[in-house]
Amino acid sequence: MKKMQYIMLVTTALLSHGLALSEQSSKQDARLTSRTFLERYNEDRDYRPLVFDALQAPKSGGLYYAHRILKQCATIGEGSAFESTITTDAASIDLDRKRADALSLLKSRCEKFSSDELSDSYIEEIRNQGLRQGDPLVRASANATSDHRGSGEAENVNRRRKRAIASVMSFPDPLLIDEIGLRLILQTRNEGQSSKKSFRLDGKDIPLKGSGTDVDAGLALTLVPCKLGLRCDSTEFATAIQCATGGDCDDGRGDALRKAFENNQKAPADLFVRTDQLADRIANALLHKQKNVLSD
Amino acid sequence: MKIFNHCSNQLILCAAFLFPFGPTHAETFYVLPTVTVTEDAYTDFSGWGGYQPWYNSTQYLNNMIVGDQFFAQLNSMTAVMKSTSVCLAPVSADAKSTTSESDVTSRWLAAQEVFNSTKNMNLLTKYFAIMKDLTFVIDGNSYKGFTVGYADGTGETWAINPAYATSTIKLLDHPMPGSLSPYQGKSHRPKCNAG
Repeated sequence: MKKMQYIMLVTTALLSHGLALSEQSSKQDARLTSRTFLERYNEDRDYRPLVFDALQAPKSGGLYYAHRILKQCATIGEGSAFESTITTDAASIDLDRKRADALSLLKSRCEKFSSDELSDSYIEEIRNQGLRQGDPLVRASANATSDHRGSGEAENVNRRRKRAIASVMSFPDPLLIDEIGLRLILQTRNEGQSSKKSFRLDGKDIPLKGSGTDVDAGLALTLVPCKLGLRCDSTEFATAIQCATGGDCDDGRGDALRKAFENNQKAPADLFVRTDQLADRIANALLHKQKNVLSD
Repeated sequence: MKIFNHCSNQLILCAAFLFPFGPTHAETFYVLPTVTVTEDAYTDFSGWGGYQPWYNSTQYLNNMIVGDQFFAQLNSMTAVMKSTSVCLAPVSADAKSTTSESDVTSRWLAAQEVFNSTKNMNLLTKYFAIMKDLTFVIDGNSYKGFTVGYADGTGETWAINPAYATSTIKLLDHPMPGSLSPYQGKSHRPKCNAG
């Protein structure tokens, strides 16, 4: 009997959940479907099938993902560029292995695109198509980042921040948040002839210090996409390309930030932990639509 | 061997396994849809010393990524300098559309994006080596400069925050006074209108 009740309960829950989903707007659908693109963005070692599928799904944020991926691959170039000649030096064998792995990953992800597909005009046209066909993420991105030739600077910046917040509240997609970045928390106040920038969080103004010795809301923001599903380890594009081009080979965004703090003698020992906690709080606010954290 | 033993008993299933009927990801060439390009994203490259195949804007780092060519080209001053233009750096559409007419905050955000991409491409050291004279003293403190090219071919210099590695503020949030230089036709900065 209990088993039957449980089955009915689960069935009812699933049905009501299904009905609720079907009644919700296309926003929710886009959130759900862009998730599959995100998972493939994180995992795939060949981006061509992903871009192919994404281009068929403008209503689910697919064009945004396709645009983003092609732009990244364009940075690297077409497949013919991959003629790795890394030489292994006994003294740096581990670093060489990391560089080789990063090169191999970038190569496998991007080498199947042609130069035409990686051209600026093709990539920009995908974005334009996203705007025309109502790709929610492309529109959210445009809404949050454009409009900077208006009247006053402070008005522009603050209006843009509000639009950016609305965009990521509707679509807390990690790539979108990553792109919008500082625009989510940056505000400007007119002070006589000049303007003064600050961050706005929890309804409070936070001065731009830049000393690297206190919790930095902007740095915390860079970790938020990782909290929302972006794979931020050594396979993430920015980390991989830095390693592949001879820079530091970090294990990911968090690792890079932790190392940077460790190298700053003036930074308190718990600075990374506190920055990470702030990132958690912002991510939670976005997921649960707690407007008070980001909004005024 | 096990596969073939198993196959002898279940021929149809194994035929499907060994000779898949449908295309697999490994075999399929995904033909991406053709898009109609309404205009050339980049309007003027005349100032860059003629056409250079590895500088065709989206692929300026093409060969730089690997091997000897990479290191050879990394040494190229031009390649490093080109990484500092919003037209060529892999930055957001918003940054790519930033011009000298944009407000200071927008220019600062674009400059920060370009700085981050230059850093990610491991080109900062080369940049500093080339631009070693680009330093400023502000309130008694010495700062290195970072010059960014905007979409209209103009350029502007920003002071680099010495603590940039552990701060969101990579560049001080006001440009160096008087550093916004106009587009000079066949100068070394490209114009772009992507965005």
